[in-house]
Amino acid sequence: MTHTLYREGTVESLKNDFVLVITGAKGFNKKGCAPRLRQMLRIVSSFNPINMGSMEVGNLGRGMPPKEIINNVTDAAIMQAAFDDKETVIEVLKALKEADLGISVTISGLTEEVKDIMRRAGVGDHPHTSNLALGFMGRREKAPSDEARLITTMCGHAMISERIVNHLLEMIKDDRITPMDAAIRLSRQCTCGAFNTVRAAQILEELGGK
Amino acid sequence: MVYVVKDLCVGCGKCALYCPVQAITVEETASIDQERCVECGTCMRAECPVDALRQPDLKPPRLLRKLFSDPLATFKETEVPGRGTEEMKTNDVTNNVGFGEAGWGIELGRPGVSTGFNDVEKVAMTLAEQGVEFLDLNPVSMLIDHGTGMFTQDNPWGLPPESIRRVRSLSAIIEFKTPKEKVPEILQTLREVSDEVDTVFSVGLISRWRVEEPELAPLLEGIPGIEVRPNGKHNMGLGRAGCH
Repeated sequence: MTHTLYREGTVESLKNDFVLVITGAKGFNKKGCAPRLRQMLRIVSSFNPINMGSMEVGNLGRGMPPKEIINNVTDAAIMQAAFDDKETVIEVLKALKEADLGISVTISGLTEEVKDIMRRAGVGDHPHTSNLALGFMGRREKAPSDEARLITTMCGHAMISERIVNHLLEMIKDDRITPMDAAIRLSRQCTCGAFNTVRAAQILEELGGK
Repeated sequence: MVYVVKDLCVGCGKCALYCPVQAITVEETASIDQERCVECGTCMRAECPVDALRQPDLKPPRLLRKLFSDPLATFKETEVPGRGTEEMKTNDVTNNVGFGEAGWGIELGRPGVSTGFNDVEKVAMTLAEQGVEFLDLNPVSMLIDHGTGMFTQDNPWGLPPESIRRVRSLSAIIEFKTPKEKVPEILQTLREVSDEVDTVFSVGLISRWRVEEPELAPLLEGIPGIEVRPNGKHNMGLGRAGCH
């Protein structure tokens, strides 16, 4: 699905937000791909992602250890890993290319940054295919506020409510919780592992006037 | 459907804070508006201090709410957890979207609104009139007639269309392909139908790349109200079929 496509924010705020997705293709290489997925995840895990996991397996944000996540991977898994540092993503991509396991990898992030990552990782000059986000239409007044969407859209499955974001922002303003602890609390609602806790803490800090 | 054990609930309101569709209200104890609830399971994961929430097994058509809303539920036909699909994640292997083609993902209910399936059908019917090619391995495609976009009883559960129309979910993705020349026309169609739905929808456009830019990028220039976000989702081209 498109759950890492619609993250909102300024270019500056998105500069350190990357999500890798690794998955097999039904009818082509999905059957029996779990060992290769595990191998790729071991590589990804060695670069200390902020978050990592999948819907059916669990993720770091919900307290599951990396080894357990990797061991639980099945053929059907769509594995995600979030990073907040471009240089690390370059190294991850280099390592995945070197491993040459034939499983598809996508990276969600600023298009120009991702192109640069590809070049520097020796993967090519441009993506094979891209999904372009063209915004949203319809009853816009029903959507969460512009501010809340900076956070809520980091969970593409829409598991994070505007209410909890606003509640935590009030707590931050009253010094009852730190932005990072609030971000960690939010990340527990993300079932797949795409939520970028570091970026969320930065946004909450700004919105909370801290 | 998810319910609250009233004898246990202490009315702390934690579940209501976490509910993404504001289906839970709290007076002395929590109550769930079952019409608004999309069975996403978020409240069950909100760490209720007294374990007062229960999720019994669901049967169709209620089950559809869960399949389209809870990422931990899987459509056995797509083998993809959640309401999603492989989309372009594996396009380097499948070549589902080739040069000269536009792949579309119209996600009703996103961001953060949820959707009634009557609106899903409305958009699907409008697109069908444009002659789009609905993709097979997609949960919405399994509910509609690909010629008309209308819900059909020829679905995995044999549900009558009127019961599907009453389903609500966090979101539902209509996926289809068109020749690339139809991109401006489809965007115009989407703008028009967006005035007729009681929700929002996000628009994603899948494109192969020529050297300098996505093949479809020039077609998007100058279309009123359409802006390509600076961030996107990009396939690295590392996949291949049948390797071991």
